[in-house]
Amino acid sequence: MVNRMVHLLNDAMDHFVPLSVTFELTNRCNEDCKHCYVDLGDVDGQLGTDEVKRILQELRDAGTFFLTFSGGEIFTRKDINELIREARRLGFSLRLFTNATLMKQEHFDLIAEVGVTAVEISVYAGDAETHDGITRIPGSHERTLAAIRKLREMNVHVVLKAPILEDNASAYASVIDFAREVGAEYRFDPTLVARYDLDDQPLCLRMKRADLLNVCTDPELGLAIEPGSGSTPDPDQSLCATARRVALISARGRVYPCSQRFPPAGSLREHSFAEIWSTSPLLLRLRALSAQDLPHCSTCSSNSFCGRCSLDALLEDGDFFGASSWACQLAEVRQEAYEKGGVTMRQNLGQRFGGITDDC
Amino acid sequence: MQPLDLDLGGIHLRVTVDQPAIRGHALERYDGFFHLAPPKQADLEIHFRIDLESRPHRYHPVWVDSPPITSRGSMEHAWIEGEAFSGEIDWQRGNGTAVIPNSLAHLDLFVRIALGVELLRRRSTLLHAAAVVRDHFGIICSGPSGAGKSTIADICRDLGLRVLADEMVVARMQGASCRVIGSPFWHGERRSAPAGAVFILEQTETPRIERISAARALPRMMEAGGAPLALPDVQAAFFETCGMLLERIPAYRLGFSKNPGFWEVVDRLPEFAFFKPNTRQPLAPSTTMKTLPSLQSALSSADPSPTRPPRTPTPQHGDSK
Repeated sequence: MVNRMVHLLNDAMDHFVPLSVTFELTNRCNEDCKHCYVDLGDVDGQLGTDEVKRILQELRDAGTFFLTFSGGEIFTRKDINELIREARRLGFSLRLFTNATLMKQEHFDLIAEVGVTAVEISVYAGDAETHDGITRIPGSHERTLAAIRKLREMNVHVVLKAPILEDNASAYASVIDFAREVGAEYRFDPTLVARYDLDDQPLCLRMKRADLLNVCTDPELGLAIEPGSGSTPDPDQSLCATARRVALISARGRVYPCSQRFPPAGSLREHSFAEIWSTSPLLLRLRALSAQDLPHCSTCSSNSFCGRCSLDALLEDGDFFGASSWACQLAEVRQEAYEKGGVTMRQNLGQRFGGITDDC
Repeated sequence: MQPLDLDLGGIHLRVTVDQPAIRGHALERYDGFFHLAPPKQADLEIHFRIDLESRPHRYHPVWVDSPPITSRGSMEHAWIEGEAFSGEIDWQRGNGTAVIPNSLAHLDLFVRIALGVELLRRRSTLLHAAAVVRDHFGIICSGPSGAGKSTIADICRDLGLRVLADEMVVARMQGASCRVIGSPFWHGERRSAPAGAVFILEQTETPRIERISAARALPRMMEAGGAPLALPDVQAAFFETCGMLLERIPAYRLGFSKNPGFWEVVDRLPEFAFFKPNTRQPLAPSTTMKTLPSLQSALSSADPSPTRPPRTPTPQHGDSK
């Protein structure tokens, strides 16, 4: 299974098949999470039902298999059931990103009926005070946990996930306890990114180094990366899956290489997905890049601990091809965590594919 | 005599010459393109025998130009002839021989032909184009003689940009992407860059740039020439490889005059502007992190950010439609 998955992902990388697409169905949300990167005030002109359906068909024709419905909050859309049903009818492996607070019986019934790969739900802490402090909506914790219990009772695969910020740096353990109690998977990420409108407020919520080291040394989280062989990376290796195997579609139907912090590659209201995917100059340029094009990073001794993102390097440090100060900090902490010993690699990540995921 | 191990576009070409004088000229000509640690087996070996008596019409010992040639054969094995020179190259077996005048132009010609066909056999090509590096990307500037390839290379060199080649450049397919590699034809560097654009050059009074489709760019690239031989299968492979290239790189028609002003219009394109370092104000987490307590305080207030539009959560049972 793992080998087949690796082969599939590599093949998609090599041949630029948009295997994994995140479809942001809306910018509306009923929560107001303080770290959120989505431009939630920007709610005009979102795609209508027929437009989304047409795009789903185009994605299927282009070779997409892993589809994620994200937002905003997807259950703010009145037509969400119709869209989930259509995505499953077309055969996508469908993940739903949600806070689950708006889920009603009809949603639970539909998910049980059509089946989805996972419902991934944001849970920031086991206690309501911390969680609601981040979502800034009192009562959100209670509603979210109730929905999770209901989904698990229906045997739906649920992933509890959250970024770890300063506010919940000591509260994530209670989420793990809850996940074990209900039989859900869990996943945490210490990385916060700037908002789509380039507001850098979320970056200020990143953990301080001491907390970062704590979470990276926690074997429950599997956040430390096991170092590679120590050899110089293959210079021809592509930078990441951006524009090669992954894409993002915004609520207004714009195609992005992976995040709306990039410029749009094209509008699905003006061109088909296939046309944008194969001719967008931005996508073509991104695909030409490889490890040898990063003059600083290609020879860095911390390379095997690093999860550098070129977009972060540009937005936070001013150079798409330069070092990312955040990635450098995280690599340094991971290396220290690894040298402290006892940390296993990503043991809790991507369990469905034995550590391999379809993420970028 | 010691062979010359050339690294041209990733191809290891071993050249032997039986005359010290022309070998000396070749050492200068290909300076910077020698294999530093050549493997025992080269991709292609060409042996040159120098006919000291031969004096073709346009003979010059170091002047580099393309003598007119005729050829027969195929991409596997071809015979090449012209005034006072002849040779054959067997790409299948990886070797070739040539008898040429004591002229660097003729040696250069055979090297380009050997390299050009070898690249085509590997789904890559030598293009009649200049190439410069702008913001980490290799820009291929294509056009027939007189279109401005050398001019644009000179302008870019004066601006401090890296010039990979001013007349012929290697486009090497890597999987479904492409790299531009410098060549010594006529002046260049043994460096490479990810292929970022093809500019079809034309001279205009005011600079302008227009995105054009692969279908529109391909005939213009063919007009610029660059196929190493006139043999049908070589021409077909060149056509196909240029087509593959244009599937991988965006093409533009660039109108320019003999000044660097054209970069202003180029840099306005979002796909160029985006990759420029420091064109936007970098975010500064290290700075803002220091102000974390005050920011946290601000975040807990009604409007967490002065730059952030007010955000009203959607009502619990809201409808986005």
